[in-house]
Amino acid sequence: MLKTLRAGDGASGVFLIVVGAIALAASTTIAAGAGGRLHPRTLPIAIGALLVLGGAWLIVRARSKQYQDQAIDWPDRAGWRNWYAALALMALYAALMQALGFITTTFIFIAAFIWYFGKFKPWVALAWGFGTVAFIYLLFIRLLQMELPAGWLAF
Amino acid sequence: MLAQGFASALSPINLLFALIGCIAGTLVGVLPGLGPTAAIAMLLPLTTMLPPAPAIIMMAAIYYGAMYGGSTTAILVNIPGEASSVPTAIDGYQLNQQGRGGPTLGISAITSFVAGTIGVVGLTFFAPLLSQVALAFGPPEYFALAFLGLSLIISLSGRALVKGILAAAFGLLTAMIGLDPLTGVARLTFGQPLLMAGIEFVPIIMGLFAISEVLLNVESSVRGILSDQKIEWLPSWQDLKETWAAMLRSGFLGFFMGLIPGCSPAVTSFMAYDMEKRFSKHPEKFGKGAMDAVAAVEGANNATASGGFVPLFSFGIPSGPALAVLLGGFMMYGLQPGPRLMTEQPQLLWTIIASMYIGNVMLLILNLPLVGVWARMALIPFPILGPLIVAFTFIGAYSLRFQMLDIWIVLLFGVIGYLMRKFGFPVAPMVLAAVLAKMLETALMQSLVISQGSALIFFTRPISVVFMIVALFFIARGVWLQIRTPAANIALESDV
Repeated sequence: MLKTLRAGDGASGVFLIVVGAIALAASTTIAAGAGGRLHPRTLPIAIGALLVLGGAWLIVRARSKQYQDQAIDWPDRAGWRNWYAALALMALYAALMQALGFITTTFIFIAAFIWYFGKFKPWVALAWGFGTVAFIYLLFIRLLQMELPAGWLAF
Repeated sequence: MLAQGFASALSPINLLFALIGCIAGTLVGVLPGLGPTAAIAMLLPLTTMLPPAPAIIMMAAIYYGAMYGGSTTAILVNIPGEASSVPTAIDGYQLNQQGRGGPTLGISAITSFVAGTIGVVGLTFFAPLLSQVALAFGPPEYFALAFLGLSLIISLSGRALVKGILAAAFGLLTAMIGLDPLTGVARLTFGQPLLMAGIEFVPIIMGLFAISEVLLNVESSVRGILSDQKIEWLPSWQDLKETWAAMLRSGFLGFFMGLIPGCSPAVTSFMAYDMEKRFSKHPEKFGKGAMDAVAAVEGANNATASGGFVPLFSFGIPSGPALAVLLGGFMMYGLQPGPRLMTEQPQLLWTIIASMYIGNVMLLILNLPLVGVWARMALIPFPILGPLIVAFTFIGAYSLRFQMLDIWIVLLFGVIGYLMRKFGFPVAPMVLAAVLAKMLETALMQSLVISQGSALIFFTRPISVVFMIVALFFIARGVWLQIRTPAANIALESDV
């Protein structure tokens, strides 16, 4: 686990080197376009190189003796459980949106989130879910005619 | 002519549609992601049954009204619905967490009124003269302006300069995914057709701010944005005393920047933030909850919106997508904004300008009493507020292009934003770079075509050379400060 900023900078450096290297590799295949004085790959290559060099600099600096280290304020075990639960709920919300529709998934997501994190009674969570989707339906779908994913309600 | 314009603008039908536009604009501004462009476009077909004056008054009011409301969610829940509200979120949300959400919203509304009025006064008296300045802008000037904007990264990075530059580089790289702006060649798309259209910066902003905020709050089981129930509602005289100069400075800056077609309120708001940090008596408060920072950003934002009407009315050049749709509104009535409109339809033009004075007063009257209502949002328990933030963020992201990809980008950048905060990477430089990337690259490529490949073009034209010198000065000064105080280079935390 990356407990300190020194370790965090090292990991960030590695991440940026990987991203920069991918950008560099992908940029070499960019074709020349017609009409420009600057090759379309010039800027992506320059930025990829900057990320690689900058990432390396972060790693080198993190190993320096002058580095003033500091602990990262990570959550405790319960905090991580909440963090993963929130991220999983959001990812499920996005993943099911096309199939179940925006209204249905929003209702499930809001009710589940409020029930799990708020420790409210189920009817409170369901009422908030219902109220929110009613508002979204009236404002965005009926009034503003916005085309949100309809899902199974599209029949 | 202005008096006749007021007489016409004060007619009941024009007043009614100015009010409808102001209410719709405020609502559009408050709802993240639903910008004035979409709102005007949606209402355009509905205005066909109206005479031109009330229709255009309403659409213009939606545009500048959205600027008033845009700060609300940025201050209250750290969701900047537009790039121009990002600097507002930085300090506004900190002030809200300190129980000062009400006064911050109040200052934001008052600043919007002051700056909006400066903009309309400028529009009234200097439109024909100032519009000449706008015409002097070609690709080299746009590149120099974008370069000047990018130089602000130095200031926005605070003590974490290297991390700020790397965050900006990451933002630039993200913006380069898609088609090359000049030649149309696909870049960094990895053969995925979905990535051809590129990555919008709005979902990036929403993820970096809103979703990462939700993740930060759930990890510590926060019960509400405010743990203390004591909150203030309206700004004090002290708040007004501290911010009046920032309101005026940013109002003038925003208006002059608004004259430049294509210069979005996002660029101006970052510039105003940086400028105010230099003028402020307490720059150390910036990033931690400075009221003058919020005033500067909101002032610039609103004045830029008003300034954008100058090239529109004088030459028919829209400054951005929302004004382009408004231009469509004019054309729907057979009107072509430009010099001919000034001579052939002066009554209509001055009615619209007069309605902007009235609209700004309406917006102030509408927004100040709403401060208390909005500020109560900070008292909603976070387990209820959190999912609402996520749902409205997803709607905002999806409504941009009606693609699920944008929702996944929000989530991805939510996690990236969370990790950036933990590892001490400043977020604002990444946003600024992502916002400026297209303008920077397009203008660079066009300039090099004009100069047949010579970069000296940026130093041989009067406006661009001034921007370039100022940008290089900012960069040199920032680097010098870092070298002079090497300890600061090893960043323990970011300022912004």
